[in-house]
Amino acid sequence: MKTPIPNKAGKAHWRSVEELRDSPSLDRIAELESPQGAREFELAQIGATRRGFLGGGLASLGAVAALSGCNVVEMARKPKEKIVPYGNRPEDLVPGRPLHFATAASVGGQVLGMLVESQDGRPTKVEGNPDHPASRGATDVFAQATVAQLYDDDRSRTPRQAGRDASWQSWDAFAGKHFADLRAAGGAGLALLCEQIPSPTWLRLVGELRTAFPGAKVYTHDLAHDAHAAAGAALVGLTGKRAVSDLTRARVIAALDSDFLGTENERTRLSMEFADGRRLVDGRTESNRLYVVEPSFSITGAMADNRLRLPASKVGAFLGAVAAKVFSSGVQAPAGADAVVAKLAGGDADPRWVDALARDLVAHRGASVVLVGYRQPPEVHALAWLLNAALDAVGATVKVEPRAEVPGAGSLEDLAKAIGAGEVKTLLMVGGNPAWDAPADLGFGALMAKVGTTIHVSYYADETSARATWHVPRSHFMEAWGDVTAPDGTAAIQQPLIAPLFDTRSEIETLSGIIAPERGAGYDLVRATWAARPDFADRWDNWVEAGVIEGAPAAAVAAVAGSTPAAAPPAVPAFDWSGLASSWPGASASGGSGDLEVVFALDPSVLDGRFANLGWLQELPDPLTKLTWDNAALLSPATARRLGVGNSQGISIGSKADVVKIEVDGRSLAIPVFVAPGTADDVVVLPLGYGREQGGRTAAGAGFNAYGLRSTKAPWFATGASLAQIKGSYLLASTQDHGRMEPREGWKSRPIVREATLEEYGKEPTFVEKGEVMEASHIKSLWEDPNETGGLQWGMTIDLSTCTGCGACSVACQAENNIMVVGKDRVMNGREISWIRLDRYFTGSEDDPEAVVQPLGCAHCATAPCEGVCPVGATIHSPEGLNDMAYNRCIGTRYCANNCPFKVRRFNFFAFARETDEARPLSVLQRNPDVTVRFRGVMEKCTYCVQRINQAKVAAHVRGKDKVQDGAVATACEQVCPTRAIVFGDLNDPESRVAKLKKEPRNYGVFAELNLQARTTFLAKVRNPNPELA
Amino acid sequence: MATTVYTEADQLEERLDQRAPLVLGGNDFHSVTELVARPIDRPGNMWWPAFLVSLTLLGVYGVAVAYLVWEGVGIWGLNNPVDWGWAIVNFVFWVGIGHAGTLISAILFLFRQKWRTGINRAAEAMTLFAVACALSFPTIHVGRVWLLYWVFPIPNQMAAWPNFRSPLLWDVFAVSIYGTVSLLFWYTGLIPDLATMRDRAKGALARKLYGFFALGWRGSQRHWQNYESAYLILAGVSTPLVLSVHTIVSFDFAVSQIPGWHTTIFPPYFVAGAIFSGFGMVLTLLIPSRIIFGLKDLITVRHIENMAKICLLTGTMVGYAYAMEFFIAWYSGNPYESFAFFNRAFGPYSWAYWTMISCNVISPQFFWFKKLRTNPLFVFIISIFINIGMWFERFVIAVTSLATDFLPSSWDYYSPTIWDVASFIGSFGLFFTLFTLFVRFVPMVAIAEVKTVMPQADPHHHPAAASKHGATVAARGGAH
Repeated sequence: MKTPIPNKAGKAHWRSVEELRDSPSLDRIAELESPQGAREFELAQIGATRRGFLGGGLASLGAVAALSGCNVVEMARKPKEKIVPYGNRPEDLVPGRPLHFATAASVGGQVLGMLVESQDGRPTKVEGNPDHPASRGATDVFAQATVAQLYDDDRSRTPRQAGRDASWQSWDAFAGKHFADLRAAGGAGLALLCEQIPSPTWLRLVGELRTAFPGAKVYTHDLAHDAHAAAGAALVGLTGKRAVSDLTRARVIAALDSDFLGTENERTRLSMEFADGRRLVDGRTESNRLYVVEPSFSITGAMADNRLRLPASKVGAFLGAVAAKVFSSGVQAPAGADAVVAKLAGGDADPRWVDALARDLVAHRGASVVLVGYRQPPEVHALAWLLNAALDAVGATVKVEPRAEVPGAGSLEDLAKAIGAGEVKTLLMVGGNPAWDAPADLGFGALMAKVGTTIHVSYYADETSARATWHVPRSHFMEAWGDVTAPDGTAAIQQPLIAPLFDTRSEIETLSGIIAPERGAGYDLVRATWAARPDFADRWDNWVEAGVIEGAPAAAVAAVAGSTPAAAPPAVPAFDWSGLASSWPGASASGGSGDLEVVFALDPSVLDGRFANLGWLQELPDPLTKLTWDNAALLSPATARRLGVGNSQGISIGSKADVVKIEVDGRSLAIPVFVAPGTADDVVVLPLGYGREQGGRTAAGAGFNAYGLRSTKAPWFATGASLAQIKGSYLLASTQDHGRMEPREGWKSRPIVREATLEEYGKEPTFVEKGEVMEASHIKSLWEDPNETGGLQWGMTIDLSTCTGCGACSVACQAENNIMVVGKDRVMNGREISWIRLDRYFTGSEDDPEAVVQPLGCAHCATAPCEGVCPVGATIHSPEGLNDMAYNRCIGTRYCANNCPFKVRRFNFFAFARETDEARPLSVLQRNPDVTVRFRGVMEKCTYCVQRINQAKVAAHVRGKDKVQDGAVATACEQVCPTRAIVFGDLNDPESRVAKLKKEPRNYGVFAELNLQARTTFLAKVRNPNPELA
Repeated sequence: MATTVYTEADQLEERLDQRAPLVLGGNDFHSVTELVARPIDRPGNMWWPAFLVSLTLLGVYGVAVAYLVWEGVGIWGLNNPVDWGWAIVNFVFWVGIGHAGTLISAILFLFRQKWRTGINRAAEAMTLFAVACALSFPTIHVGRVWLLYWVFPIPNQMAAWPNFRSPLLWDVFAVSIYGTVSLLFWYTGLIPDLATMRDRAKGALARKLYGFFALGWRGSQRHWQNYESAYLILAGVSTPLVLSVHTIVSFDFAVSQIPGWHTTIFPPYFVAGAIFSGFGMVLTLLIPSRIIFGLKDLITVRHIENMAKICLLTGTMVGYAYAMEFFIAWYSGNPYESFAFFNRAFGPYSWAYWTMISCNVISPQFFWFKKLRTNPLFVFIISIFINIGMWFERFVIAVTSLATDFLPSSWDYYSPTIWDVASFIGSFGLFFTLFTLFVRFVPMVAIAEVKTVMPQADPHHHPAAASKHGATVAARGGAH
């Protein structure tokens, strides 16, 4: 509109038209139009000639007139940069209002249906798809972090050949020729090694590959895959089948070395069903009972009603003893299983435990379930099938479903053998990182060198890519079309939300290009898969929109996967127990000998290492040890004492740990030790996934690589290990060093997490009152209580009985609220920024403790201690009961944080956001535009997701309502919670869930004696231990 | 003019029939002026080194503050439960020190404690410099220094207003009012001496500057009358401030609800501690100064002894407060408070606690012995302990309470960084730079006031007839 006028007479500044008296025409125009506005009009930047002004300025004056009443001075100072508004706004797009797209993917071994929020085209936040049975609206820590992975600056951006960047043209040229030659040779020497991709299209393409390259062999390798469970099912005649547990009907759950709430497959759905079975609300006084037998302390163990610490090598024998007891107590063995039953023996397992567990399982026949974890060998899984079948669980609490897996695929050991025999000339690796995470005795990195051509398709140019001839970058699931099948058979379309950020291709596109170079687009490939369904043409759009494919999915999947479509399988399949009879007791099912047992564990933060480059997850404290940015050799206190090693105890976040050398079978690892109460004695737990060599900038330097100790013989636990202290020490960052509610030994426990057994709760439903430090009638205020009763009054309850402490809330909050990662050094300095954290307290003896977790964000106290002490009024109370933070007003005295009894306020000690922006420019794209990015020197904390509240209020007002319907606002932590432990809503609405929960007898406020009147209250924890084991 | 020569022995002899002389040696009015003005005329060999060392430390402070503003308060050792560390400890430490000056000038003035005249000027100067150091810490400790003006009630276009419920805001007013009144009080007392300096100045610039600040003082009767009234009024105004400032500083802690902070004993306990630390610092400064600048006749052992007695009194009061805190923590039955105090003494910071107890409670007990409290070297050593102890008192209060408060999950150990240390050491640079400039350019003893307590000031004084004791009886001034 305005063009700079050439300045001929020097820069002349003038403020009003009066200064240009010699211009009658201008006077007239000014009078006619808007003299007041014109007088204020400042044109400091515009050049001087009158004629020029008339030429360029008249239009401006017209605009001024039209806008009289606006601050014209400001208007004139707007930058002269042209913007182009939408001439035709895309349909459904309201600028500033996010859209949600349904998609689904396999994340960390678990298939989830998701709704991904898209802000102006940028995916920013993952929510669970309520219609998808695997997520039911919830997700897990890994799914929450996938948006961070999408915008990970370290992701691979281009194909690489022999370690150097190459172009897609060169890849296409190479692949075209190479695979054409191979095809001509009948595919001999081609091996495909892939991670588990439960995608019908992928399976279809693998089938096509086998057809096109008849000599090709397919192998799978995936640490997050339940390979032992699959082998266990095969042992009992259920090859290609899986057990899908239905915990909604389970009254007794025996988890044997199974972290089904944490790192196992289907954790999200199982968490929800487990929680539903013990939700003590609305007068319910029944709860399921969870027995956990495990070597390391997992969140499942923390949730256990009865927990037995047992080395992993003894779990099989323990289950054998339980089975023996079950069958000796009159339970009929299934037909053909007598040979197995005859081999079962009591062994040296704790008889009290065996008796009690067996009795409880039998007593709840048909409503009990035995779960066995990924660590246990196949025969233990097979034995669990036997028990479940004998106890009528199969068909009730355990369903049998087909596995969406490549049929007849070999294992990594098979591949290693083939390479060793010189049978593999071309190795195509899709996903995974075998050069890094393969059992050490395979020497897979070295084996790769024996193969003529190695190709690695992956997100990152990682350890395997570095050794491969070719690295082919892989698209993120939010960038690519695909489809996934959940364990229960539900299929869903993986819908992309954004074009690939880098020049990448999805794994199906790459594989399809190898089979037939002329085909390519992922969209067509996926549609081609589903075109087999008769309702495809009608329903495709609905499938994509809803994120779930309705109908009989299993049959459809079977059809497209090229296997025989089965009729609805019988509820109780035909077992064949002969395999189990011959293999029981397996070598590892019996208790191993040896001094020390090493147990490998998938890490709750980085799993097998695939998430190691995500700062959100590195900084997410381990649920039990609270370690961030590192793994360590976890030892029970007794074992640590016996071995004379340990880490500094005290109240400091940074803990100085002894470094030890662990030796197994001639292989060794130097790693710091961390004393983790609850670990089985004589066991060293080594979380996997750390110590990445080429994992990206974030992963670099985080932790120690425990893969070097794994072998094919003992992939998950190994006995006969030795441990010796070596020189040096290492600083570990555990965010919670004082792990008990007693401030000091001999002092009374503080009533922070209140807990009772189901029996006690039944006798005294109001047991929480016993925890009060001060009687309610004694709590008096000097002032009138804040009168917050009108309109909407927000509040939250957190049910400690169902909260598993998985940490999903913490990561979800991070994704929603633009919370920065600060790094290990700063975590050690106590500067981590988590708005909702999970406090973990051990109860009971140090040697055999229980653990409770408590999610804690700002409690939004009605009489908030933080508000009064702020000298500038930067934190104030809203009429709706929120404790608001005006970041822009905060000058950073930090008094509020000092005075907060919950210590939930977090300070920006440095310019964390700016540092992140500079180091990781792409991460900016993930930011939620509705939440202020906090700058250096200001305090921040949980807002109850005020941006979501406001969106819901606007939506309600648009519909002419003052009230927000219950459930219309879900805070990020509430929405993600797989156990629905967190409930948020309007306390003023007597019908709201939260208002009802606040009336529960278990409801209590932490530090109520301080008269905080906190809006977040807790429902006390109730465990249901077996009285026989008391 | 012949004068009686008093000695230390005369002064320390406790007599019922007369008061001890306040000025020793054979000084008369002229020699007192010369004695005080000598350091300004000839600063001696020690001044430049002392000044340069102080200036270097001030430079350290400058670097520490500049880096702080550039990087953020994260350069300090603060962590999540301990959001106030050395900066606030130093603030309270310096404010406390800033109490002795005004106490000496105002309260002792109102109580007609004539011995104050020998030390009040230097003590008041010390107060001002300590308050300057103190004010610097809350200024730099905020996260966004450039917005600190938001704590002042300045009408602004943002319609933002400070929160008058916050003790930090009370601090802003309490300390700035205290600083202002102390400055006025000090300056008012300086006027006659500045005129003296003007009259004896040799250089034209010095004459002009002293003359400017002397506000045209000619020593007329009217001037003296106005001066005396103004001084008395300011003494009256200052007296409540001496008590209020540290009371309000203690509210920073007491008004919060952190166990270990939330105690009603804080106001009197803080005031006693402040006076204790203030006198400790006055002793630290004046014991060497009286030797270096040849002021032994004016700042006598009797002065030192009196201050030692005040230290004994206030140190014991502080010790009582420590004991009472423990008693109340137990007696209240409040589990958080009882743990907080138990943990202070036996927890991770017990080393700091016992340092504090040794320095603040045990070390002043030596002053029960006259021999010890009249030994300047010994008193000097104890005064250093008092300074250390009172710094640790604030450290113990601020840090141990925060490090282990209500929620055990959030506890964390606080350790300072090099930048915490640099800003603390650096603040001594600011303090001593100001103090060395003060002794270089301003009479460090109130010349005019000292003269009023000399025998010669008595209208009935007859130097020739005066016997050693009789003269003192006549000169006892306000002892009626």
